[in-house]
Amino acid sequence: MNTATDIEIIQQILAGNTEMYSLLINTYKNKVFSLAYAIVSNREDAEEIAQDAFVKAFKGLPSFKERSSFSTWMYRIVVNTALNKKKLKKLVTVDKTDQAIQDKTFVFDSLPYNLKRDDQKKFIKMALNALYEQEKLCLTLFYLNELSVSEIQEITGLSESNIKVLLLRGRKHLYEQLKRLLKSEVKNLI
Amino acid sequence: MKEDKPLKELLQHNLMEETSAGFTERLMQRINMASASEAYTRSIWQDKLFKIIAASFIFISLLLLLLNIPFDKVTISFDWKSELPSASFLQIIQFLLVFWIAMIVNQLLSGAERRIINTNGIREEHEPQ
Repeated sequence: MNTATDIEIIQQILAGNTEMYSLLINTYKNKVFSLAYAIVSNREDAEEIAQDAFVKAFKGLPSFKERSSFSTWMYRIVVNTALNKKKLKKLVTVDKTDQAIQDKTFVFDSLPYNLKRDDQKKFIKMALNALYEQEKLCLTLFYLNELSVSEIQEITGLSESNIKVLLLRGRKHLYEQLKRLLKSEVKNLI
Repeated sequence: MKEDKPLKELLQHNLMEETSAGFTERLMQRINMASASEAYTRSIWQDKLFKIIAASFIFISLLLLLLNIPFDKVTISFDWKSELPSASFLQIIQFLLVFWIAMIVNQLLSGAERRIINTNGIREEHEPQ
Protein backbone atom coordinates (compact mmCIF):
# COMPACT_ATOMS: atom_id res chain seq x y z
CA MET A 1 0.00 0.00 0.00
CA ASN A 2 1.33 3.43 -0.98
CA THR A 3 4.87 2.18 -1.50
CA ALA A 4 6.09 5.48 -2.94
CA THR A 5 4.54 7.42 -0.08
CA ASP A 6 6.01 5.07 2.50
CA ILE A 7 9.46 5.58 1.04
CA GLU A 8 9.02 9.35 0.99
CA ILE A 9 7.99 9.25 4.63
CA ILE A 10 10.98 7.05 5.49
CA GLN A 11 13.33 9.49 3.75
CA GLN A 12 11.90 12.33 5.81
CA ILE A 13 12.29 10.33 9.03
CA LEU A 14 15.89 9.54 8.15
CA ALA A 15 16.45 13.23 7.49
CA GLY A 16 15.54 13.86 11.14
CA ASN A 17 11.79 14.40 11.08
CA THR A 18 10.92 11.57 13.49
CA GLU A 19 7.35 12.81 13.98
CA MET A 20 6.58 11.55 10.46
CA TYR A 21 6.83 8.03 11.83
CA SER A 22 3.38 8.46 13.35
CA LEU A 23 2.00 8.43 9.76
CA LEU A 24 3.44 4.99 9.19
CA ILE A 25 2.17 3.84 12.57
CA ASN A 26 -1.36 5.01 11.82
CA THR A 27 -1.29 3.34 8.41
CA TYR A 28 -0.16 -0.06 9.63
CA LYS A 29 -1.04 -0.29 13.33
CA ASN A 30 -4.27 -2.27 12.92
CA LYS A 31 -2.81 -4.75 10.44
CA VAL A 32 0.32 -5.16 12.56
CA PHE A 33 -1.75 -5.64 15.69
CA SER A 34 -4.11 -8.11 13.96
CA LEU A 35 -1.16 -10.14 12.69
CA ALA A 36 0.43 -10.26 16.15
CA TYR A 37 -2.92 -11.14 17.68
CA ALA A 38 -3.40 -13.99 15.20
CA ILE A 39 -0.07 -15.44 16.33
CA VAL A 40 -0.24 -15.00 20.10
CA SER A 41 -4.05 -14.94 20.64
CA ASN A 42 -3.79 -12.45 23.48
CA ARG A 43 -4.62 -8.73 23.21
CA GLU A 44 -2.08 -7.47 25.77
CA ASP A 45 0.76 -9.51 24.30
CA ALA A 46 -0.24 -8.55 20.76
CA GLU A 47 -0.20 -4.85 21.62
CA GLU A 48 3.20 -5.19 23.28
CA ILE A 49 4.51 -7.04 20.22
CA ALA A 50 3.11 -4.37 17.89
CA GLN A 51 4.81 -1.65 19.95
CA ASP A 52 8.12 -3.52 20.07
CA ALA A 53 7.97 -4.22 16.34
CA PHE A 54 7.39 -0.56 15.51
CA VAL A 55 10.31 0.46 17.76
CA LYS A 56 12.56 -2.18 16.14
CA ALA A 57 11.51 -1.00 12.69
CA PHE A 58 12.26 2.60 13.62
CA LYS A 59 15.73 1.69 14.86
CA GLY A 60 16.31 -0.38 11.72
CA LEU A 61 15.12 2.24 9.23
CA PRO A 62 18.69 3.25 8.27
CA SER A 63 19.30 -0.37 7.18
CA PHE A 64 16.00 -0.62 5.25
CA LYS A 65 17.17 -1.35 1.70
CA GLU A 66 13.91 -0.77 -0.20
CA ARG A 67 14.34 -4.18 -1.83
CA SER A 68 10.92 -5.03 -0.48
CA SER A 69 8.05 -2.79 0.51
CA PHE A 70 7.98 -1.28 3.99
CA SER A 71 4.87 -3.32 4.83
CA THR A 72 6.56 -6.65 3.99
CA TRP A 73 9.63 -5.67 6.00
CA MET A 74 7.44 -4.53 8.89
CA TYR A 75 5.36 -7.74 8.89
CA ARG A 76 8.55 -9.80 8.95
CA ILE A 77 9.63 -7.99 12.10
CA VAL A 78 6.17 -8.56 13.61
CA VAL A 79 6.20 -12.28 12.81
CA ASN A 80 9.68 -12.75 14.29
CA THR A 81 8.89 -10.70 17.39
CA ALA A 82 5.63 -12.55 17.95
CA LEU A 83 7.18 -16.00 17.47
CA ASN A 84 10.04 -15.17 19.82
CA LYS A 85 7.58 -13.93 22.42
CA LYS A 86 5.47 -17.05 22.00
CA LYS A 87 8.53 -19.26 22.35
CA LEU A 88 9.56 -17.45 25.54
CA LYS A 89 6.08 -17.69 26.96
CA LYS A 90 5.96 -21.41 26.22
CA LEU A 91 9.20 -21.87 28.16
CA VAL A 92 7.87 -19.90 31.13
CA THR A 93 4.46 -21.57 31.23
CA VAL A 94 5.57 -25.10 30.35
CA ASP A 95 3.98 -26.52 33.52
CA LYS A 96 0.63 -25.02 32.63
CA THR A 97 0.28 -26.77 29.26
CA ASP A 98 -2.31 -29.26 30.48
CA GLN A 99 -4.35 -26.48 32.00
CA ALA A 100 -4.18 -24.57 28.71
CA ILE A 101 -5.43 -27.61 26.79
CA GLN A 102 -8.30 -27.95 29.24
CA ASP A 103 -9.12 -24.27 28.81
CA LYS A 104 -9.15 -24.65 25.03
CA THR A 105 -11.48 -27.64 25.29
CA PHE A 106 -13.69 -25.65 27.57
CA VAL A 107 -13.91 -22.84 25.03
CA PHE A 108 -14.95 -25.29 22.34
CA ASP A 109 -17.54 -26.89 24.59
CA SER A 110 -19.03 -23.53 25.42
CA LEU A 111 -19.29 -22.57 21.75
CA PRO A 112 -23.07 -22.96 21.40
CA TYR A 113 -23.52 -20.56 24.30
CA ASN A 114 -21.32 -18.04 22.49
CA LEU A 115 -23.25 -18.55 19.27
CA LYS A 116 -26.53 -17.89 20.99
CA ARG A 117 -25.10 -14.47 21.67
CA ASP A 118 -24.44 -14.22 17.95
CA ASP A 119 -20.73 -13.76 18.51
CA GLN A 120 -19.58 -14.45 14.99
CA LYS A 121 -16.18 -12.93 15.60
CA LYS A 122 -15.30 -15.36 18.37
CA PHE A 123 -16.65 -18.20 16.27
CA ILE A 124 -14.33 -17.42 13.35
CA LYS A 125 -11.39 -16.98 15.73
CA MET A 126 -12.04 -20.38 17.27
CA ALA A 127 -12.01 -22.02 13.86
CA LEU A 128 -8.79 -20.26 12.94
CA ASN A 129 -7.14 -21.08 16.27
CA ALA A 130 -7.87 -24.76 15.68
CA LEU A 131 -5.57 -24.75 12.62
CA TYR A 132 -1.87 -25.59 12.59
CA GLU A 133 0.39 -22.63 13.36
CA GLN A 134 1.87 -22.38 9.88
CA GLU A 135 -1.52 -22.67 8.19
CA LYS A 136 -2.89 -19.94 10.45
CA LEU A 137 0.10 -17.70 9.76
CA CYS A 138 -0.11 -18.13 5.98
CA LEU A 139 -3.88 -17.57 5.90
CA THR A 140 -3.54 -14.44 8.05
CA LEU A 141 -0.76 -13.00 5.90
CA PHE A 142 -2.58 -13.83 2.65
CA TYR A 143 -6.14 -12.80 3.49
CA LEU A 144 -5.82 -10.34 6.34
CA ASN A 145 -2.58 -8.57 5.44
CA GLU A 146 -3.23 -9.04 1.70
CA LEU A 147 0.27 -10.20 0.88
CA SER A 148 1.24 -12.18 -2.20
CA VAL A 149 2.78 -15.65 -2.03
CA SER A 150 6.22 -14.24 -2.85
CA GLU A 151 5.90 -11.68 -0.04
CA ILE A 152 4.87 -14.43 2.39
CA GLN A 153 7.89 -16.38 1.20
CA GLU A 154 10.08 -13.39 1.98
CA ILE A 155 8.62 -13.10 5.48
CA THR A 156 8.51 -16.75 6.49
CA GLY A 157 11.40 -18.22 4.51
CA LEU A 158 9.15 -21.07 3.41
CA SER A 159 9.21 -22.20 -0.22
CA GLU A 160 6.56 -20.97 -2.65
CA SER A 161 5.12 -24.45 -3.16
CA ASN A 162 5.05 -25.02 0.60
CA ILE A 163 3.11 -21.78 1.11
CA LYS A 164 0.61 -22.73 -1.60
CA VAL A 165 0.08 -26.12 0.02
CA LEU A 166 -0.32 -24.50 3.45
CA LEU A 167 -2.87 -22.04 2.04
CA LEU A 168 -4.86 -24.82 0.36
CA ARG A 169 -4.78 -27.04 3.44
CA GLY A 170 -5.46 -24.09 5.72
CA ARG A 171 -8.54 -23.10 3.73
CA LYS A 172 -9.76 -26.70 3.72
CA HIS A 173 -9.19 -27.11 7.46
CA LEU A 174 -10.80 -23.76 8.19
CA TYR A 175 -13.94 -24.74 6.28
CA GLU A 176 -13.97 -28.11 8.04
CA GLN A 177 -13.70 -26.40 11.42
CA LEU A 178 -16.47 -23.97 10.51
CA LYS A 179 -18.70 -26.82 9.37
CA ARG A 180 -17.97 -28.79 12.53
CA LEU A 181 -18.71 -25.80 14.72
CA LEU A 182 -21.87 -25.00 12.78
CA LYS A 183 -23.08 -28.57 13.21
CA SER A 184 -22.64 -28.37 16.97
CA GLU A 185 -24.47 -25.04 16.92
CA VAL A 186 -27.43 -26.50 15.02
CA LYS A 187 -27.51 -29.53 17.32
CA ASN A 188 -27.57 -27.28 20.33
CA LEU A 189 -30.34 -25.11 18.90
CA ILE A 190 -32.47 -28.21 18.14
CA MET B 1 -2.57 -18.22 -6.23
CA LYS B 2 -6.34 -18.14 -6.64
CA GLU B 3 -8.03 -15.93 -4.12
CA ASP B 4 -11.08 -17.01 -2.16
CA LYS B 5 -13.00 -13.72 -2.01
CA PRO B 6 -15.80 -14.80 0.38
CA LEU B 7 -13.15 -16.13 2.79
CA LYS B 8 -11.12 -12.94 2.44
CA GLU B 9 -14.15 -10.81 3.29
CA LEU B 10 -15.10 -13.09 6.15
CA LEU B 11 -11.62 -12.94 7.68
CA GLN B 12 -11.15 -9.22 7.11
CA HIS B 13 -14.55 -8.50 8.61
CA ASN B 14 -14.05 -10.67 11.67
CA LEU B 15 -10.34 -10.78 12.36
CA MET B 16 -9.22 -7.21 11.79
CA GLU B 17 -8.48 -5.90 15.27
CA GLU B 18 -8.06 -2.33 16.43
CA THR B 19 -5.36 -1.16 18.80
CA SER B 20 -6.28 0.47 22.08
CA ALA B 21 -6.76 4.22 22.30
CA GLY B 22 -3.52 6.16 22.65
CA PHE B 23 -1.46 3.44 20.96
CA THR B 24 0.24 5.88 18.56
CA GLU B 25 0.96 8.46 21.29
CA ARG B 26 2.51 5.88 23.63
CA LEU B 27 4.55 4.47 20.78
CA MET B 28 5.79 7.89 19.65
CA GLN B 29 6.92 8.58 23.23
CA ARG B 30 8.96 5.38 23.14
CA ILE B 31 10.34 6.29 19.71
CA ASN B 32 11.38 9.77 20.86
CA MET B 33 13.05 8.32 23.98
CA ALA B 34 14.81 5.67 21.89
CA SER B 35 16.09 8.15 19.31
CA ALA B 36 17.29 10.50 22.08
CA SER B 37 19.25 7.75 23.88
CA GLU B 38 20.57 6.45 20.57
CA ALA B 39 22.15 9.85 19.84
CA TYR B 40 24.23 9.60 23.02
CA THR B 41 25.23 5.94 22.93
CA ARG B 42 25.60 5.01 19.28
CA SER B 43 28.94 6.64 18.43
CA ILE B 44 30.57 5.34 21.61
CA TRP B 45 29.74 1.69 21.11
CA GLN B 46 28.76 0.77 17.55
CA ASP B 47 30.97 3.05 15.47
CA LYS B 48 34.14 2.70 17.50
CA LEU B 49 33.90 -0.99 18.38
CA PHE B 50 35.56 -2.19 15.19
CA LYS B 51 38.37 0.38 15.53
CA ILE B 52 39.01 -0.68 19.14
CA ILE B 53 39.15 -4.36 18.18
CA ALA B 54 41.46 -3.65 15.22
CA ALA B 55 43.76 -1.47 17.32
CA SER B 56 43.93 -4.13 20.06
CA PHE B 57 44.75 -6.76 17.46
CA ILE B 58 47.56 -4.69 15.92
CA PHE B 59 48.95 -3.79 19.36
CA ILE B 60 49.02 -7.41 20.54
CA SER B 61 50.53 -8.57 17.23
CA LEU B 62 53.33 -6.01 17.56
CA LEU B 63 53.85 -7.00 21.18
CA LEU B 64 54.24 -10.63 20.18
CA LEU B 65 56.73 -9.68 17.49
CA LEU B 66 58.73 -7.60 19.96
CA LEU B 67 58.86 -10.49 22.41
CA ASN B 68 60.51 -12.55 19.70
CA ILE B 69 63.36 -10.10 19.11
CA PRO B 70 66.64 -11.50 20.49
CA PHE B 71 67.36 -8.73 22.99
CA ASP B 72 70.77 -10.06 23.93
CA LYS B 73 72.13 -8.88 20.58
CA VAL B 74 70.57 -5.44 20.84
CA THR B 75 71.92 -2.66 23.03
CA ILE B 76 69.08 -1.26 25.01
CA SER B 77 69.12 1.68 27.39
CA PHE B 78 67.63 -0.14 30.36
CA ASP B 79 68.45 -3.29 32.23
CA TRP B 80 66.27 -5.99 30.71
CA LYS B 81 66.22 -8.96 33.02
CA SER B 82 62.72 -10.29 32.77
CA GLU B 83 62.69 -13.79 31.37
CA LEU B 84 59.64 -15.80 30.76
CA PRO B 85 59.87 -19.53 31.31
CA SER B 86 59.37 -21.24 27.97
CA ALA B 87 56.27 -23.10 29.25
CA SER B 88 54.57 -19.86 30.36
CA PHE B 89 55.53 -18.17 27.11
CA LEU B 90 53.95 -21.00 25.14
CA GLN B 91 50.82 -20.82 27.30
CA ILE B 92 50.49 -17.07 26.69
CA ILE B 93 50.89 -17.52 22.95
CA GLN B 94 48.34 -20.33 22.95
CA PHE B 95 45.91 -18.27 25.01
CA LEU B 96 46.18 -15.28 22.70
CA LEU B 97 45.77 -17.45 19.61
CA VAL B 98 42.73 -19.23 21.04
CA PHE B 99 41.25 -15.93 22.23
CA TRP B 100 41.47 -14.27 18.82
CA ILE B 101 40.31 -17.36 16.94
CA ALA B 102 37.33 -17.77 19.29
CA MET B 103 36.44 -14.11 18.95
CA ILE B 104 36.61 -14.14 15.16
CA VAL B 105 34.61 -17.38 14.94
CA ASN B 106 32.03 -15.89 17.32
CA GLN B 107 31.73 -12.78 15.16
CA LEU B 108 31.30 -14.90 12.03
CA LEU B 109 28.75 -17.20 13.67
CA SER B 110 26.65 -14.40 15.16
CA GLY B 111 26.54 -12.80 11.72
CA ALA B 112 25.60 -16.06 10.03
CA GLU B 113 23.03 -16.89 12.69
CA ARG B 114 20.79 -14.05 11.56
CA ARG B 115 20.63 -15.54 8.10
CA ILE B 116 19.81 -19.04 9.20
CA ILE B 117 16.17 -20.06 9.16
CA ASN B 118 15.21 -20.57 12.78
CA THR B 119 13.32 -23.51 14.19
CA ASN B 120 10.00 -21.89 13.34
CA GLY B 121 10.98 -21.72 9.70
CA ILE B 122 11.14 -17.92 9.90
CA ARG B 123 14.03 -16.05 8.35
CA GLU B 124 15.55 -13.32 10.49
CA GLU B 125 17.74 -11.70 7.88
CA HIS B 126 17.90 -7.89 8.00
CA GLU B 127 15.72 -7.65 11.05
CA PRO B 128 17.01 -4.94 13.35
CA GLN B 129 17.82 -6.01 16.87
